Amino acid sequence: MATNDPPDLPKLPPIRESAENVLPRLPRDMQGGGWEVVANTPVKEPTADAAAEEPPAEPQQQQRRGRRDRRDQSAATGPSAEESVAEPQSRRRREQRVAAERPSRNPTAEVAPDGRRRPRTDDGRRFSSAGNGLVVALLALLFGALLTAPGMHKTSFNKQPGTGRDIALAVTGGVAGVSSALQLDRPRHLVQSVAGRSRADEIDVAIVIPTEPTKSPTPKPDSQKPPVKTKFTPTKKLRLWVAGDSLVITPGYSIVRAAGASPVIDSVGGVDGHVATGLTRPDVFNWFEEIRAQMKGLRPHVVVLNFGANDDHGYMTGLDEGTTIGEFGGPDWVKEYRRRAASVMDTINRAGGIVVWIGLPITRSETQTQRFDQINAVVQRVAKARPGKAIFIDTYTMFAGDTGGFTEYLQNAKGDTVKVRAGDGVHFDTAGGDIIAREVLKQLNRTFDLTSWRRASN
Amino acid sequence: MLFPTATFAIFFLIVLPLSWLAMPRPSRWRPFILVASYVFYSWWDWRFIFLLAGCTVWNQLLAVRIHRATTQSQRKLLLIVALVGNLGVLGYFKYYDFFINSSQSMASIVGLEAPLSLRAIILPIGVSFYTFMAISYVVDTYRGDFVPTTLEKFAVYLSFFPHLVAGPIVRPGELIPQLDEPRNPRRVDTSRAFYLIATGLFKKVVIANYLASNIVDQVFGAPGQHSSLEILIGIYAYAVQIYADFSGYTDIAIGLALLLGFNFPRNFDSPYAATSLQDFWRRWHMTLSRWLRDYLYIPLGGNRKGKVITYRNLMLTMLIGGLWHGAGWTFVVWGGIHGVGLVVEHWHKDRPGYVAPPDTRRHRIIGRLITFNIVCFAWVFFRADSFSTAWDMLTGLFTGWGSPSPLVTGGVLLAIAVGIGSQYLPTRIPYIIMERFGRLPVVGQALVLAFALMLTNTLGPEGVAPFIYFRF
Repeated sequence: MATNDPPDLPKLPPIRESAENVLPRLPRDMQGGGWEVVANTPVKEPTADAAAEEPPAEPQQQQRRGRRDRRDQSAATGPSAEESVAEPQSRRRREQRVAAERPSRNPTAEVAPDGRRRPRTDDGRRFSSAGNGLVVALLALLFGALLTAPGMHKTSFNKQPGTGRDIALAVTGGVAGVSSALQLDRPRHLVQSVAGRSRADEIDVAIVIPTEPTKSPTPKPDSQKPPVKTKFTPTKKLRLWVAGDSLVITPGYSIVRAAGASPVIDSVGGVDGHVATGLTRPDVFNWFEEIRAQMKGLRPHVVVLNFGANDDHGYMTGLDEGTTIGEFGGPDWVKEYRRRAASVMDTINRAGGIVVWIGLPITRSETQTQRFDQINAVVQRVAKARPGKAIFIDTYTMFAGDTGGFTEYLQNAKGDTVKVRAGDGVHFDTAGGDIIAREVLKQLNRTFDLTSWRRASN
Repeated sequence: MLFPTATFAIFFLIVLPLSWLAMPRPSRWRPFILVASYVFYSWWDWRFIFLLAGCTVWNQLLAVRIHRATTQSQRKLLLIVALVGNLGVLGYFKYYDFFINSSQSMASIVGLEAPLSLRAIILPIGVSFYTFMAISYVVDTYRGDFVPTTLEKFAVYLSFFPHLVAGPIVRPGELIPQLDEPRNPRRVDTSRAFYLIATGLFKKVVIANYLASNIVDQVFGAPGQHSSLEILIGIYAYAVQIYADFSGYTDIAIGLALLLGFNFPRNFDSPYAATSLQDFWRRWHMTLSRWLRDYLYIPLGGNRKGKVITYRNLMLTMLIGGLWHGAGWTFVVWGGIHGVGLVVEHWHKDRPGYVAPPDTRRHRIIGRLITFNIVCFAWVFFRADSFSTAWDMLTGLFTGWGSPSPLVTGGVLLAIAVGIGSQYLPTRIPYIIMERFGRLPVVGQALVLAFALMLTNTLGPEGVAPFIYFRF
């Protein structure tokens, strides 16, 4: 591609590029890089017509430019003619236009034999300038912000609290207002409705929390029969649904795989994992609503959940009027988090499901581990208060190393050392997911009758 | 700082004008871009910058020594020292656990206790890329192809932020001469730059994410739960996902460098339109392929030492290339499949009386179909987290026909069709787009780009995108 002009080039009027006439004045350095003086004469007509438009009686300048452009040409590898082969039509049109506007001018001036030649890209297109690129980038981001304003506003709303969020909310709120007033958000809404995501920009913090504990108005027979274990058979399978934040994804697939190996368990709805979500921020993802909807749609007997890894902070949305939660881990925070965890469990229990809650594991960061521990304590208590209806799986000790600290490697059932944690020190690796899956299945076997059908069929 | 984020957009909007302002005086520009690149890199983890800086100083010292050395044996010794350093860094950060784990498995087979223990090492982002670039710098110096430059220029070459985390792997002869003189601000190919950035973003944010979250993750997560049709489409979807993800990212890198005035080599050239595996490797991750060719295959003897040695060299190059992609045996198998495929192709051509098939449309279509499916077969091992998952995928291709396939939706098929179809576009289409775009006035160009951004953002993942690891 092009190389640079030697810095000692004679100072010449430049060959103007297409869009420069609408550019704001940039510092000289940015326009010409210090090699050439930019002519101040505005050029009315952009592009290649510049040559034809300049006063014809400038033989000296033409000659000089020819010299300069030959030098350019030796550097650039583009086609030698003023117009590349690919654009004969537009060239003809322009020539006609120039001829029509100024019949007295000689149209062949722009392809003079000694060449008024402009450097070209490898494939013969015109170069532009850095200033042009910068202005296009700036304007594109500005227009882009107006076109995507509702989405940006929602993203800002979903940020972690702090000055960054306040600024982002103020800015995007303003932009969204302008965008909406000018109806610039309509293309986005159109694309969303075509893609079936019409509600994507809504900020939904409504939490519908069951007010009374687990007593269901319309009790389902399956969930109301402890201590008799509910029996499942290959014809009447246990329906299992996995949901949660990013931590649930790897163990979730392990559970789904393990369920697939059992003739009496049917995994429904795959692994419903939403990165960076939890119970504190229904605006980011409203799990309360999702769980309610899926309990109706999928009718699972068991729901495997994992929440909390994104909840270890002192900010919640969806609070009732006048409620404050104080700092993370404080009494008010614990009270509200308990209410939310309980509501999730109650929603599931009322729809006839049993909860298997995967606790938060020990992580590489000690402070994070401490915070996770506090969340585990809250959830564990809520689960304990629902015997037979909620099971808490303690991954904290399950994934601690020999010395009780964090480890990436553990021995599996076969005695092989396997990598159980992902490189980030928080998430699980596949082998770790398999360990959790084994524990989940063990708990299901304890809670339900998953094997007597074998004896019956023998 | 990933490219498709608002943080990066702000970073780049600050760097771009400042870079051009500093450009007329390279002595001002180079320290500026060096600081910008280190800021960019430290966004992940500030500790990484010491590794990058150490790698820079180490290789510069040795390259200069190699250049000054008077005897061949001295030069060779210095080269070996340099290579040991680079491969040591890569080995420690990327492969330590892999080697320890593998050697422990071996040791336990023969009843021994392996002495070393596993430790959790964080992989510094981009380390695979910049160690390879550093190797090409010292090797080119050793070969006399390149005269070492100043420490400052070498530091810019190694850390220049567009290529830092995921390539392309630029050679010293391509980038360092561009650092010598100011880039001409009047000769910036902005049309190509914006075309690459916009299409790169769409490929990465829309196509790759959509396929990952709508079929690939589910199918590879639990192959036993899916029908054969879902598995088959899931494999094709992964082929498109990895192409869209990786080529999208390097396209953005090339576009950003262009806006700053620098030319990077092309990295992908419609790989799924390849008619043979040899052709595929000329089109897929081209800067890595030529690195492996020039710094591994040719030093091993290339194809100059007889057929058998050529086959061995091909095989070794692909196996090592496979391991470069990830510290796991599944990656070695992925490389092995490509190695065997290449050897078979060479062997077929080397047979006496071999006549090249006529270059007809029919032959091209057959070649493309076979190549694409072999490549997809190899991708199964690349994506699967273990051999048992890969095995489940491959057996699942035959055992689950007739079951319902809810994951095979119109959207998935459309995304696959767009991902593959775009590689069969005649080259004049991008040309016409860039040409027409270049003719638009500034506001028109900005509007076109803004619309592309809106489309990418609106069709991209809702909420937070899944984690992306630069594990290569």
